[in-house]
Amino acid sequence: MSTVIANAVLRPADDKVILRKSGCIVQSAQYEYSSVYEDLNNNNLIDMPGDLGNGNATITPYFGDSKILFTGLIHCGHQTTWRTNFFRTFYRINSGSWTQFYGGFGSNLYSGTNSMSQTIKCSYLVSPSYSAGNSIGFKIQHIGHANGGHLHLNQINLSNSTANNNVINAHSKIYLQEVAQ
Amino acid sequence: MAKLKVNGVTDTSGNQYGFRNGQIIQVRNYLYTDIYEDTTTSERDLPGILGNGLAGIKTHSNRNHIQFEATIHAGQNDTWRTTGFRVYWRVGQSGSWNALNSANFTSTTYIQGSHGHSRSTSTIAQFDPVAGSSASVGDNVYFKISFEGHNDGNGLHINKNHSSNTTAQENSYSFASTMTLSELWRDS
Repeated sequence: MSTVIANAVLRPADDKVILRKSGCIVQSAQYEYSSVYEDLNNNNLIDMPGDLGNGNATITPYFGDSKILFTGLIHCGHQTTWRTNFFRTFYRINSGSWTQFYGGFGSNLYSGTNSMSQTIKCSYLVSPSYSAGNSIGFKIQHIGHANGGHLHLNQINLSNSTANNNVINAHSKIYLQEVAQ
Repeated sequence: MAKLKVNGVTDTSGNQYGFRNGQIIQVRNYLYTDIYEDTTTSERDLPGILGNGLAGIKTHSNRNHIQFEATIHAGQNDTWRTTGFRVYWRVGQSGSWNALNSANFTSTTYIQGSHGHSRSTSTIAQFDPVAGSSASVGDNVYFKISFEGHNDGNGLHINKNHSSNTTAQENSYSFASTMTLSELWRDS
């Protein structure tokens, strides 16, 4: 096998760098949940269902000093009158303990008609301390406002209905990208 | 011009870089900046490049995956608007469209008795265009987005925004609704 060792690869015309490591997104992974899920306990802090909260959402960086661009994408449904949902985000190394990071986000919906829906998407660059070969797992927790905090994950009707439908088959997800340094 | 063919490129510390599984190797971006309003509630395609089926990306290998991203600026007139957005793809300019449900998303904007408000919503999804299709090296993979309004709050007002209480068709803050397509390298 032939291997070229270099700090940069340049093109011949003007010596511009065409291949490098620093700052590049070198791998991506997505973990999805598409069922309708409801939690009607307002202030109850819970792990999100499926791969959003069970620790299955992992990425094993190619390099020992990379950062992880975490993106949470949640489809928040609604039933009259209003819903406010908050989401906390955590990571862990291999099967270690969970560490909360500044990557939380929230959703607010208000209407007398049922089945508003809002997609919330937030991205954070996380800098966990890990060793090469480690797996980095992520999860999301939910808690609702005390007076209107029911969660209606992926409940999308596009009509005045409280049915547990996802009429556009949207997927909530954790999307992970390794950013080389 | 001479080409150098190698199986790997490493830095001077021995770390491999260059193309590896999941690396982004090209990005295409499409913008729509006009204001578009529609009062129907049934599903229809978004205007311009977002829905006409011409937004595409040509992959370098039929093993590679595509990362789809979109941002829509959904405006509002009194009182509220809820819209569902569906994403579709196909190989080439003919044939039927395939649903990319993983990328579908929604938006809601609600202010009682006031106009001109706007909500930005976005999505991201990764998929394999070869799975279940006849895509091959050098094929263009095209995308489009459709929309469907809530029965009781119909009306799409894409890119409409104003800091005054007005229904005027103005894009006061130069919003651009976008579609971004990235090719992800796959070894196998």
